[in-house]
Amino acid sequence: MIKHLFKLVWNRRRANFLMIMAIFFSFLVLFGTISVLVSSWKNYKQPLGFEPERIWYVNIQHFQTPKDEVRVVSEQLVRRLQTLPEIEQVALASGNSAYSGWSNMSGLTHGNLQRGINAVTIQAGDFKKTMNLNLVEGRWFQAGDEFSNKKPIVVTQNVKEFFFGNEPVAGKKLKSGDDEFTVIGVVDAYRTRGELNSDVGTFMRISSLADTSRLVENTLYLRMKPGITSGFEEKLLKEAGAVATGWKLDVKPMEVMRSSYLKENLTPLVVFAIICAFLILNVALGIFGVLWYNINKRYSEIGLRRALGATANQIYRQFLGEILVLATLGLVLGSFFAIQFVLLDVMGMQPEVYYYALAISIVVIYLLVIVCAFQPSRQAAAIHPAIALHEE
Amino acid sequence: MLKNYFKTAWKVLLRRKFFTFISLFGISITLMVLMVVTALVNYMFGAHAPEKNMDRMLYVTRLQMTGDGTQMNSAPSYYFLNRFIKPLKSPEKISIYSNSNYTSINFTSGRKLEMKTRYTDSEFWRIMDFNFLEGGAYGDAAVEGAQLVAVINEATSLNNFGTVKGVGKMLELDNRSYKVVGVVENVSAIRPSTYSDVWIPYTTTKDDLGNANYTGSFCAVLLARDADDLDDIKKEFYSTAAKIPLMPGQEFTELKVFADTHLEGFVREITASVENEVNAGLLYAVVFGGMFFFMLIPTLNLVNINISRIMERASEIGVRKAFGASSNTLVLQFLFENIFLTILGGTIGILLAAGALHLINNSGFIPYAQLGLNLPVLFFSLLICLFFGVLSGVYPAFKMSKLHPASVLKGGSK
Repeated sequence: MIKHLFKLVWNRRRANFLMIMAIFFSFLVLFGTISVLVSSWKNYKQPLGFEPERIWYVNIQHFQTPKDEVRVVSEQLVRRLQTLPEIEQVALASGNSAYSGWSNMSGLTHGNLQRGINAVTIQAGDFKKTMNLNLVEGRWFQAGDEFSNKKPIVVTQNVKEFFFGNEPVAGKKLKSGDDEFTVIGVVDAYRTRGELNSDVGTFMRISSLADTSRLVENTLYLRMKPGITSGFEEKLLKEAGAVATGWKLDVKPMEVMRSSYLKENLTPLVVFAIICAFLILNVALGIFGVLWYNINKRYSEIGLRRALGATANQIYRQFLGEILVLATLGLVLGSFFAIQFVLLDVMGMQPEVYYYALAISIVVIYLLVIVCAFQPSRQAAAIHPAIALHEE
Repeated sequence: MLKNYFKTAWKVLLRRKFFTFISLFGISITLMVLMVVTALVNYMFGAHAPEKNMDRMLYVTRLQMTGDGTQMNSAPSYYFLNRFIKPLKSPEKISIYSNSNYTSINFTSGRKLEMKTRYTDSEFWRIMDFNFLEGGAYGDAAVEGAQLVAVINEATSLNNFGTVKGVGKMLELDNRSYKVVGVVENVSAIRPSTYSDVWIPYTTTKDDLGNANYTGSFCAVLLARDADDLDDIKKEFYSTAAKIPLMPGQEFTELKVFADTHLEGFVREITASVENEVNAGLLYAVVFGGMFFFMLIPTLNLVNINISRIMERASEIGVRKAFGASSNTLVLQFLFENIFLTILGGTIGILLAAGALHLINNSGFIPYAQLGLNLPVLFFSLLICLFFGVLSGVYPAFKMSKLHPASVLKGGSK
């Protein structure tokens, strides 16, 4: 049966070649689009590690304030804001949080293992409570850690797994250039590139405002009490202005930053998906039209087969089978190229993403051709032998 | 003759409405996407206000310093540009102004108004051709005297004063009052070198401009007398750049700064190239390659359908051939019909594209975008239509012309 179908397809190879090419290119486009969608979806499903809902992100510009004064005033500012009844928690840290567009990558090594990881420096306030981080192992920073010569750090779960597998982290060391850090704790996640991008991992270190060898960080993270609206901003700036005269505070609720991040990152995805859908719809209509025409042209052939005893069901299955053979040929060719993409890792995603995408694309193409072939094949099966042969 | 072709083409289109629909659907959607892309590209890279003289402009926006294992990419500072770039001899004019990362805030009306703010010199207004709705730019005296004056765009004037006639009014920016001297048409956010809400003299900044730090948030634009002078300017620029001393007090060993046209700057941004010359041809190759690939699927589809349609007309072709029509005539006729179909689809595509662009403009997705179908875009669309029509018509037409009249007339169309 299958051999026979291949023979039928081969006999009309010229006409079928174009159909196979159309299926082949559609498959490639579908595969590319679905890979990106699957990858984004997988990233989106991973926990973010913190809650952006009530957090305000405040960027500070010090202008020409002398450096020593910046240290003192920053300390006062954090303490002052902590006393405001609208604010639950305050932390002063580096600005490389999610949605900020900043990154600060450091290469960490342990033995032969090496990986670029986002480095967050905490300088004042309680960062863990502010961001609501979830500690899963070890301990968080405590008083005195900022001056400890062991240089304690807290890492995210994926960093821990990369360097130490399932071993407990207590006392483990990580190197960055000449620095040697001691891992004291693990948080489940703290994603700094947003939920649609892959997680590179984060480590957090602590430093003191009194330490003159380090720059003063210029980002405040405020965790607001529930129900505080953006109307509070004016009061906040007034309160801050009383302590830090002449500085400029740029206040952004993280939710606002998040929605513009999502807008920026989802738009290309949606546009690609829509264009891809139109292309595929286009091809589907084309396949439908060509099949419909072919069946009209093979009227007498079908009539003859029916007269020789083929049932309507057999005719139906023959036409469906032919298009499935065509689709299979297109898909085999397409999968061959798609796998080259995977092997060369053109798009830089995890291998499993490609396998999901490959499977989904194959299923979609098969479904598509079956749907397109359904009506014309039924029409073929309904041909009455007497009428067909009479016309001949 | 042509009239006959039209008639035939029209009748053929009406005969199989479903096929006609499939063809037109594919063509119009494909062309719509291509036209929207073309309009976007034209809007991003075309020379129009305020960058009317774009073909004579070079932009200096990026500074790269590398050291032992570290690399720093940043915009240059005012100090750096003023000290090393401003003295260049070959450009006609040089302007130094800030990039638009700075946001001013105004609370006076009880609600928060955020305004993108740029610090500029007075030369900026002589290089860029802004469309002033009212008033004018601030001049040398205002910049030197650090006067609190501002040029604002239409939207800012409306938001703050409820009218586009904002000249003479006072605008609150970060707790300082600026006097509005001019109102300009909105400039879209996809023109990164001019986009802003408010433009004020750079001397009014609170930042320390004399600070000998090389990195900052400024950029420079160099205007050539003539588009042919760009190469000379680049030559002078890079020979000067090679002599710039390394930033004191830092451990960098190499410093690079670039002068690019708008397009080259865009390519440099994507490819992160650190060569003095970037290859803008690469961008063209990617764009045209992408367009070609994008057209490939609908083309294949159209070829498929065309073959089916043409074989249906086998007997017509047989009769024409029997009465002496040459293969060439038939190929031409069929190509004509196909181009007719494509242009019909293209017209629908233009309407769809106009709708889509209107939607994009109104969505406010790109701030102040005024995308539209102008002449270059329409011309390019026509080219795409013709290309598409010929591409999808050639093979079926060729196949048709090969038909043998005797066998066709006998009834076997295979």
